[in-house]
Amino acid sequence: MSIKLQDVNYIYGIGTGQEKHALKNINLEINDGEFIGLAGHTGSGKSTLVQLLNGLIRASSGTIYYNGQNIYDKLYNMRSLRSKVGLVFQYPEHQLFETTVVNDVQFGPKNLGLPQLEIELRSFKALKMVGIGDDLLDVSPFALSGGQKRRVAIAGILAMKPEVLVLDEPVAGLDPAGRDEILGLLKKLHNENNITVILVSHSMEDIAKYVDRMLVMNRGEIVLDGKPSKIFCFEKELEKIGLGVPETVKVIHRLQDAGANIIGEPITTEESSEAIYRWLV
Amino acid sequence: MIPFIKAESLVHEYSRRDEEGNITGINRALDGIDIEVKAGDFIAVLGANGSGKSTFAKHLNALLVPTEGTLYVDGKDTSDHINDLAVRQSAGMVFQNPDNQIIANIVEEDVGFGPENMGVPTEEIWKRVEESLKNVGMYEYRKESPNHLSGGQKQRVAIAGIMAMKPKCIILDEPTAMLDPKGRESVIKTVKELNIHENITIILITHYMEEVTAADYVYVMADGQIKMQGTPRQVFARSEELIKYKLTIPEVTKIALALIKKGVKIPKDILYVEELTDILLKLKARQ
Amino acid sequence: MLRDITIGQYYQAESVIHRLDPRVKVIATFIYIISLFCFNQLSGYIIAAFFFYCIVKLSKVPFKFITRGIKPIIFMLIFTAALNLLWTSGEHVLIQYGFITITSEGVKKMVFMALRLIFLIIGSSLMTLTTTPNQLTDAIENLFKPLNKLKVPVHELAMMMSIALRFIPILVEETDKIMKAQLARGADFESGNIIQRVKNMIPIFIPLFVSAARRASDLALAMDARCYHGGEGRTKMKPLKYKRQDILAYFVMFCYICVIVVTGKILPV
Repeated sequence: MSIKLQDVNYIYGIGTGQEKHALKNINLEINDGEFIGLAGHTGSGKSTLVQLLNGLIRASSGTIYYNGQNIYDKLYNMRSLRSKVGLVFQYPEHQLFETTVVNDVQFGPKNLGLPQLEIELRSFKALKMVGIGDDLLDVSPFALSGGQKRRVAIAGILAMKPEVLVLDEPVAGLDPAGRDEILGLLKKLHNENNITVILVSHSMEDIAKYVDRMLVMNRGEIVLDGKPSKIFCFEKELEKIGLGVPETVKVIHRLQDAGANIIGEPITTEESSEAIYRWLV
Repeated sequence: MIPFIKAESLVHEYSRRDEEGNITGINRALDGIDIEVKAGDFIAVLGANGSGKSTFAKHLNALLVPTEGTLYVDGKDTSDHINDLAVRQSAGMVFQNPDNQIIANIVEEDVGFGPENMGVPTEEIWKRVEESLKNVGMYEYRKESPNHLSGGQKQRVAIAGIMAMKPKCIILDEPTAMLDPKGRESVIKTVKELNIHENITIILITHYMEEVTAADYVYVMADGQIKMQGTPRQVFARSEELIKYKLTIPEVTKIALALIKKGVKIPKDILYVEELTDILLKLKARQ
Repeated sequence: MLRDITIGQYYQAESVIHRLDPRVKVIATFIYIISLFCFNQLSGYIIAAFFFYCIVKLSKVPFKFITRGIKPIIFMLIFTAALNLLWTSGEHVLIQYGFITITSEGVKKMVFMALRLIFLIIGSSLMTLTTTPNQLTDAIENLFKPLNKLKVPVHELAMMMSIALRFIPILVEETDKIMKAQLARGADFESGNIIQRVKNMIPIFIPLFVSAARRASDLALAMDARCYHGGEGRTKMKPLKYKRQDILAYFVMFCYICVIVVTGKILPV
């Protein structure tokens, strides 16, 4: 069970004279149950890559395999792929349109042609997962607060029971409490339901805190792929492509540069303070 | 000296209405705000979503008027509509969404929009446009369409558009919420430079902790009230309270606090990476 | 598909035509269009075509860009041509088949009508290709100023036009984004009959409408914050002023009209 990209290229605006090579020779394998962080500054090709994963756009060349099947095969059911690879766009609350919260969440499962009972079951479950209480089910989604709207929008994708959940900057614009809420929810989904999560984020702090594997993109290529603790060793390289490392890592690197013998590659605040403490005493 | 901004028990209430337009309830978005800002200061207002900070920003620009209490901006009472244009001219406002505040189709024409409205003579407009675009580092993009710019660049154009009105103060309402880290950095750097070199009073409204460290003084808002105030160091030293108001503290401060908990003797108001590493290295050397 | 709309497209180049006062371009285009309806013989079309060719050469806009403007109206073109062909009665019947009668007058009328339409479209697209939307709105505001006396809010209308031009690309992009987001939720925009398809569009229209409303209210605040209070007491960053080249351009247009009228009188074909 995996997603596999083989020599994938994506070129925008073919034939207009203003072609842009958005993805260059991407080879990537995403395994079942991974929690992946995808980093890269604006225009690095992140958004293009995630749209390829659920077939919203078609690669200019190369192949994508989902669970071993070529998704560009003529007989492949693209719509079922879209339900298996759930994509949450940036500011997903902007796509809410129904009269009530519960109706909006049911939109996805309805499109899958499920029986009514299953549709209702799934949407209640999804809303519960994102922490939207029963008192809000029949409220207009437009009457909710920003953070609530976003959780309803995410529930709309979860109700389709995706095996892979891709989120493009899911915490953009939220306050610290709202950020923790959404990211905590993703962690829970990953741990309890064994959903593969791909988190697109600008925030190195969030990536350090939550993901097992990190992909770094620059100019349409994947330039780094590995554990966050290993990737953050490339502080200078990351800064050159407009990303940088979390402040915690900066602290450790400065200390190490000054000759401090700090063992390991701590990245979160807990790990870092623990490592510094051990070095100090 | 008369403070540039003076709010006294400022209250703002929104009334909720049902479908027939009858008032069904009242939301107190601002609940007795007292603030004094000196000319030339760099102030940050920190608060979670729904804390009332954006409502407060709109008052400073006379886009909303107080339900109760008073607000004076540059010596003018904002509740009097006669003062609207004067208030907006001396305290300009930059909004969150970069796309929705650029009016013209060419960068330089957008920057000229404010002065045009104020009736500034043509040659003077050109001078101001050039100067403000240079101030924010966007002069070379003056002939471009705003649609071709990045978010951070658009926000800097918006700031230039305000600068061209020759304000004494700029209010920025979550100017970086929709930007990537690079854009965020460039906007904050620009704002800081305007504060230092052009002596512009800055009121930065945000929920990003890292941006607040640039300010001289911080107000923390929650439930329409000012809950905490002080220098960034004083405020960030009170982490439990901040968390209660749905906020957080910079990562560096978090490490320092964790170390203090373990018994390491360092100050609890550390904000910067170098600051922490210097203190730690000194501590180690003393052992 | 939405991206193919070329209304108001501007082609950046350094040319005399680009530098002309936008008012000259608006008036000249207007005169040119009227001139197309002032003659009814081949020689007139040759002069109009030659004149247009010279202007295009001067403007440095590639012909490819100009002819592109015809593409969206091809259907309309064929339709009007067919109407003219079939509904024009005349003496010289060429083909008669059932109720269809095609006369040589009909053929002539069809060709001329089609030529007129084509010249009309490419003539006005040359104007938009060489004039920025802002210059265009400025020119329109300026030219229609007399209507202010009739209580027509000319400044406000021009401002609306300019803002619409700024937000069209943003809303097009937004539509694309919402469409993709709903596709990701399993929406289907391709199957079903017309009514079903329109219904399927609701998940796009509502978010788009909400977003447009939000943008409008944001923009209104931003304009307030920048002291906008209508056209009164407003100065211009780029005021319109006629220069020598503009006077010359008016003179050229005058000559063109003279030539058209004179040939119409002396050349019967």
